[in-house]
Amino acid sequence: MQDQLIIRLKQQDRAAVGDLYDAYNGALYGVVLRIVQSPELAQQVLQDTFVKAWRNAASYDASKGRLFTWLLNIARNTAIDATRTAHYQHSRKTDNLDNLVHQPGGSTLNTDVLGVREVVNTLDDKYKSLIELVYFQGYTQEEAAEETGIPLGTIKTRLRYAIGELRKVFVAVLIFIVSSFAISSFVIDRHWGIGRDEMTNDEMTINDPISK
Amino acid sequence: MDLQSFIQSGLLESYVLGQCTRSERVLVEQMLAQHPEVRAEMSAIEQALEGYATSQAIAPPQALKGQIIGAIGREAGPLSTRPRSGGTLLLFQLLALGLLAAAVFLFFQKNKEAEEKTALSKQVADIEVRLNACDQSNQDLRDIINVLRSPETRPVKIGSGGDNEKLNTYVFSNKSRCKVLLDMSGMPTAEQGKHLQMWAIADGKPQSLGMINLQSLGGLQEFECVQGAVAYAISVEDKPEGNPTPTVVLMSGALVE
Repeated sequence: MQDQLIIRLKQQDRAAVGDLYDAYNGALYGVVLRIVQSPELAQQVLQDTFVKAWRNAASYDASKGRLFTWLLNIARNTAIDATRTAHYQHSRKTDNLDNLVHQPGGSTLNTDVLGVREVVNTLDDKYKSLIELVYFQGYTQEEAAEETGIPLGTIKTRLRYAIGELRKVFVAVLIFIVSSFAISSFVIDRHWGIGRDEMTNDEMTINDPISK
Repeated sequence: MDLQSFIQSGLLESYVLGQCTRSERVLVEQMLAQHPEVRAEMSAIEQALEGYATSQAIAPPQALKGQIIGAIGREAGPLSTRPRSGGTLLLFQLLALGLLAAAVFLFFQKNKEAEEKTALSKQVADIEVRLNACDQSNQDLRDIINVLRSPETRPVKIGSGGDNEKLNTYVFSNKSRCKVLLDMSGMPTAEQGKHLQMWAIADGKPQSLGMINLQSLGGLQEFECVQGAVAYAISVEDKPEGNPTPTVVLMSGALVE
């Protein structure tokens, strides 16, 4: 599915942008909003991100990473630039996040059907905040060391561990999703015969060559 | 570097986070290209972070989607001829202007050339006419010279100015070719309103050879000869077409065989 989207994007199929937006708008907006803090600015940044993605579709190289990574890098860089050019003064404290999340301009997505958020929240704070700083806010590991006062070596190890923990969560989630899909498809097919209209018994025997 | 150390090094995480140095990037991309295990590892890292970002998603306002699609709609398409930047647009405009100016210039140039060509053709035609006239004149002069050179041509002195030696008038007669040439160099100018007529005397009677044209080509005027002419005379007449008989004889001279 992602491959198709990439192909269409590279072919400059404008309809692909809608699908791209549907797939990633929430995840990207979450990151951008946390960086720029202002909903208006975040919306502008998100628009700029999609426009840049559209313009530079030719330069996306699938062998060097997933589509979302590419988009996130664009979004993050655009957001950081926006804070600089706007001379935006704000404190990078993550405890502001709750206020933003419940503002009229933004609402939590219902991605939590599978309780992912809860699982992620079980992750130790020090790992969560590190991912927050480095992955979302775009701090380099050196800058993160400076910001937090934690030695660079420790930062590196913690980051790797944090991502490892996340991987466990999301592999599990992925397995769950895939197996749920498989099971439900099987069940539906058995009961209702996807693609076939309901036929009476007589019709079924008449049409069935084996019964002759 | 062996695969396991590479994977444990944290370079892949840095790459996904966009925090590699240039040389680190090159190394990672090499490893990605060469080892499917490295690709799988990176994909897992990416998906984990992507999942985390999704779990922290915040929905933007509903209207934003339409706004963004509209913005994309205004972007250039794959076959658009819109130039990529303002500088290129200016270049195209200048180019178009230049081409237009060149076209206009060439058009006027062509017109001018056509006019010049017509003028030149006319000049050539004029020259040709004059050339033909020259050729004809040359031929006529050669004829006169031939007559004068001929041993059969006889000069006939028909008049003298008396005191004024310059007024010797000669006629050159060639009987076999039947040509009579009057030399203008010895001719007096006719008075206003008077005309000179040429005569040949034959059988005791004067016969008109025609009116004298003092502007004759080569200074010699040719007349038709009269058989049996023994003398020649010039008379002065009042009428431009002359008279059947001479009015006042100005001069005359006999042919000496």
